[in-house]
Amino acid sequence: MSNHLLFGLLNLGIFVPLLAAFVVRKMAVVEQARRWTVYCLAFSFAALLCNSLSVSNAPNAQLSEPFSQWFLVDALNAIPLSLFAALCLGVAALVPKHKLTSQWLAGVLWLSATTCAAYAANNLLVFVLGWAGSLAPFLLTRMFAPPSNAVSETGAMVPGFSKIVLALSLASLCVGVGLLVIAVPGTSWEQALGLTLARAGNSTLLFAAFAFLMGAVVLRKGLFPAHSWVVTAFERGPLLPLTLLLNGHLGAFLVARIVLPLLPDEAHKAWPIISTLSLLTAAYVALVGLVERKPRRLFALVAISQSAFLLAGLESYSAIGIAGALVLWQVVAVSTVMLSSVYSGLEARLGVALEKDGFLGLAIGAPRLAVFFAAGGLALVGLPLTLGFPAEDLLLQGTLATNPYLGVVLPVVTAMNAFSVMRLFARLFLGKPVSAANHIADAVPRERWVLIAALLFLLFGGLFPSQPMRLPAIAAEKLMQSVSGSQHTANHR
Amino acid sequence: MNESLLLGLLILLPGGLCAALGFGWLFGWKPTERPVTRLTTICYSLVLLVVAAMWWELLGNGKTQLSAVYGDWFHVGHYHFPLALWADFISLPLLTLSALLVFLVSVFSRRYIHRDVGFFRFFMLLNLFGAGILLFFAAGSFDLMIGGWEIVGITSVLLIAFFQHRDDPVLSALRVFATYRACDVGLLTGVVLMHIYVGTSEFTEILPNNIQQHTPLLGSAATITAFLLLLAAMGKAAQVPVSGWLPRAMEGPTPSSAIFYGALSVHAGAYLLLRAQPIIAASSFVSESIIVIGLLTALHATFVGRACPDAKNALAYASMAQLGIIFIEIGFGWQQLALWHIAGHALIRTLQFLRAPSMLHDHHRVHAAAGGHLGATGIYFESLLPQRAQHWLYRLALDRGHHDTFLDRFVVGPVLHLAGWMRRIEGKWVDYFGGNINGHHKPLATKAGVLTGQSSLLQNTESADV
Repeated sequence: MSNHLLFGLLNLGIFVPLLAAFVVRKMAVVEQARRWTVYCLAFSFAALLCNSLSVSNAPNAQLSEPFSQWFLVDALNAIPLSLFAALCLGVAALVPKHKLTSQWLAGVLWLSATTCAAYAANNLLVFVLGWAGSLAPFLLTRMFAPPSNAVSETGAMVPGFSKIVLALSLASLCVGVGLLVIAVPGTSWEQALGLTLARAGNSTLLFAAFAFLMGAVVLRKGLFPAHSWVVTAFERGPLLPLTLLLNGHLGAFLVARIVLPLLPDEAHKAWPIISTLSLLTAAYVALVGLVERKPRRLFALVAISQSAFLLAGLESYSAIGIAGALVLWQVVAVSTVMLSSVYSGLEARLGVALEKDGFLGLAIGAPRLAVFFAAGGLALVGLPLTLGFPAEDLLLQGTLATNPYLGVVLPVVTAMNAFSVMRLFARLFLGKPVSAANHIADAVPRERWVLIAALLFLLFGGLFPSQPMRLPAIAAEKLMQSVSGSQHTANHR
Repeated sequence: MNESLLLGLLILLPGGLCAALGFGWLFGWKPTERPVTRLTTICYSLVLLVVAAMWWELLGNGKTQLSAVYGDWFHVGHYHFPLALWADFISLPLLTLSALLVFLVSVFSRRYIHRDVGFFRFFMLLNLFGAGILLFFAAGSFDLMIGGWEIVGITSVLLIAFFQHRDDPVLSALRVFATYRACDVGLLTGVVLMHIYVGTSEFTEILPNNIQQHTPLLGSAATITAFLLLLAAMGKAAQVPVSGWLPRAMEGPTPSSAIFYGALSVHAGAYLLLRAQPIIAASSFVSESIIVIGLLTALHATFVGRACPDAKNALAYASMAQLGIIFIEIGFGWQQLALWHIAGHALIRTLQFLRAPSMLHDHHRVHAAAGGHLGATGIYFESLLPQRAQHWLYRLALDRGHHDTFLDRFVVGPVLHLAGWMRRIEGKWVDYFGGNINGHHKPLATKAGVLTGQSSLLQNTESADV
């Protein structure tokens, strides 16, 4: 079923930040660049939110615009689209001044546009372009490098190792998509690149396509053993942009949008391997996190571990598990951006003193930042009253019902991650204060407003989860229908 | 009177107050002591009125329970999370006790925490705890119990770290948090298994009622579920072998110790088992395990408590001993006795904890008034043992039965050792690829000497650089 969106808001929501990236990059006054960036991202967010609301009125439809068929909105991508634009808006508004350059802001605009383009892609080519575009600021340019007069060199550049892994994920995606296209000979380009035709035929070719696509997922999401790129990048690279990149969750989206609907048979055959790999990653990384001392690395490990649950949920082959994964997506995205925003704010205040071993006691000077950090961290690990709780509950129900042995891992890993988050919180905010702790500034107004908005999202989502859960539940049902329908056909074949 | 309204108000009043105070502060409100304490007192007075109305409703109309279903909190496919509240002759006494004790502790703390820098934080956490414990006791399903359970756990941990300018309370809080989270795995998994086995965790479906004589959870399903619930209850109720956190929890302020570890939080585990009694009764293995664990805890706590040098720790071990006995009662299926025991124990222990700070002062005063001739009290049967045995037992008691040592050496140690080994391998692998390929040889720490000097310039630069 296909309907049309009105006013071209979807295209505008994607292309306005894309074009603004080129304009903002040339601006000499950074605060002016920040203002324009915030305006553009606010517009993009509002436009994409309108699309999401259109979908919530017709949740079973795929909506596209009358004059372009590049993009579509449906129950699967409606929330990620507006959520990612909102996250970019929040990050642009609260990023500390000392890290800020016009290029940095242009990078966030570019990242927002390309990631949203990948979410909204109506065909494989647009998806690949979106995926590649979201990596470009990290691979090809020094967009997120701090200004030359910056105090700290932390976050100076993305390490080469991480760049190589990300480039390999792109290469793997290109090969996988190429194989998908040639797997359906005798069809038009439009059909071959489309996202509706489930592939059938040459099983070797299809399995190779599946393997390359999953390779792209493993590399981009940082599943074991490719998780190291995330840890290294978080330790040495720009924290906020990397958090946005990780929270695009394009790897998980690739599974939900392309792998499961187009290659259901291959996915079904391989799902025990993938869900095992996801839970292995979550467990391994959580275990390493128990002894990690460096805050940035620990933060990366917790983020990877919780993100790995997304894939486990998507591969749980139950509507409950998939819905849980899609809701957890929202939680992980908002929580980790909250955590990295607070941490970046602290870095701006204290520089490399944050790397010091032992307790820092910063809650004395920055109690509100402490509260935001604690709330974001606990939501990430499923604290009741936050959206994290229903997400974890659904995920646990889904995985435990389909695979009890793997399902048991989930609460254990969540407990380990909760301890790591609490340890990080205690290390930064509690204990005997360092000398600087009494004098640091608490959350400045722009930080406070953005972080309160994020906290309200998590709390209202937790108190009234039906709304943030409605579209993911529908998307999960549709995904299960397409997978089980195809499985039924395969059994008949 | 409307049952839904009464049960709803029970949770909404403290929850709403907590949200109002919290967001007011986040938006920039600078709270003073008087409005915070007044609002808290008014809130819990109202909660007590609501509880009184519930008793009236229950006894006046000859009902066996009050229940309210507010629909599904959320649902996906066939799975639904019911938003159901419930008060019967097991939960209503504990709801009354909770409202009363939070009210009393808030009144007591008004002077005890007066002018402390953490005054507002204390009352925020007290209100959050109040909402959590009322939700836990009023929950109409095991799903919803998890919500209250976790809130009680996190407020407990944050109050242990209340004196945050010292390292020791923070370390104790982390230890308590680790124990709680490890044991909470049992509750989460147990409740999910209820859904998988019987499709729901609502009390009306799981527990025996007018229609069904027995719980639908039978055989191995009952054993597994009850065992997981027991694991969770052991953590919260400080039962052997995970009892080591309770003395560490005494780092928090005395009023919070009273309400958490003397009165309400430690009894949450016992209430969970009371609620799940029909499931436990279906498994003789779990019933017997509860009796054995309770017995061991009671013996351990009595033994260790005799060597405690300070009042709060002695009270903590006395609480633990009573909790062990309550577990034994639950294991035998003596529900009413266990309930009365919980209520009596909570009240007397709260009184003792709140009295503890002034007790020593009074003792010195009486001692001086008696001319320094105040005699020793009590009989010590240990003196009948041989001298060597006395020494050996004393050392054993001082090290709290070696429980923490055992856990650290044989559980925590190996896990951390494995994690450390994995981290070293990981470090080598990352350095090999990351370091060489990137050419990022100079570690950040080497620049710290230069940069920490500059960072001090940033400390007060709110408008300039943040």
